[in-house]
Amino acid sequence: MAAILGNVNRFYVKIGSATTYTWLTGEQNNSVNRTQEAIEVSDKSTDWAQFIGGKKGATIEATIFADNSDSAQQEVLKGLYQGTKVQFFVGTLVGGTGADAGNPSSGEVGQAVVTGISDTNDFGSVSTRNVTLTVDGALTHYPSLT
Amino acid sequence: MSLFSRLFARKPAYHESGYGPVYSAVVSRLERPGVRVGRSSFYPRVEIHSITEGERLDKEGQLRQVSLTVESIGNASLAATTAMNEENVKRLTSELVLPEGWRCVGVLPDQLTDLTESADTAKIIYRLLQGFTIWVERVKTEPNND
Repeated sequence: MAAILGNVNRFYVKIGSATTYTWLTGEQNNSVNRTQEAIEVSDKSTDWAQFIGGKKGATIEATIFADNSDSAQQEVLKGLYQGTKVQFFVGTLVGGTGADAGNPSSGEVGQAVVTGISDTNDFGSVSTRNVTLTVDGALTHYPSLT
Repeated sequence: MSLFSRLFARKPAYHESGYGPVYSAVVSRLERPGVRVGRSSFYPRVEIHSITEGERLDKEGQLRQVSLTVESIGNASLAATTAMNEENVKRLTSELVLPEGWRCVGVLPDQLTDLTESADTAKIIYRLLQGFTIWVERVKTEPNND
């Protein structure tokens, strides 16, 4: 096993027509939830229920420190206010997070609609923002599965 | 700029930790006529009792939470020491300018402890320990090596 820290698997978005990914500044954590429906195909010949795989789907969630001036966060806000789809990547880029960051190395690429943005403003805490996205179409997994 | 000036020009220090920027900013903010900060055994004076930098709050380590305790020490009266402490609170919560590369996100005063020393054979020393929580953000991410 080659365990890795969650720190390196980050949430990135493409801003506007950009071809490169920008890290969602102030990210604390993210989660990628993949699902597949189970279609039951049981008949009376078996005692145990049987299934085949149905539609696949995914949701992405991230918690960040709220910053309305940050261009990556604005891209997500536009996804909700203007209904645009967000081009995202969750994982590790070749070259890390800085100016040298390149193509996806390990993770999930896709586009998504923004289904929720929740801001939390507690006394004595930095304001946080939780964003929820529902993936539109297929996820592309890196490295590719053979 | 001459070669001599370029060779000996003082470059701003790069701070990876938030401790140094907070310490220097707090000391310069608390210094005022009639009140010395540390480096003295006279009264009244203010001392930086402790600084604790907590774990990094986001994946890039840009946001840090620092716990600070400032001690106000005087031998005139409890009222005078309390007034000195209140001036410290006012100064730290109104404007805290950090060295280049760092920005203060916010300052909140928290617990206040009275540690007045009274003994029959010695003069009373009035000591107040005021806690603060300070959030700082690293806005410069790479050392300036040029």
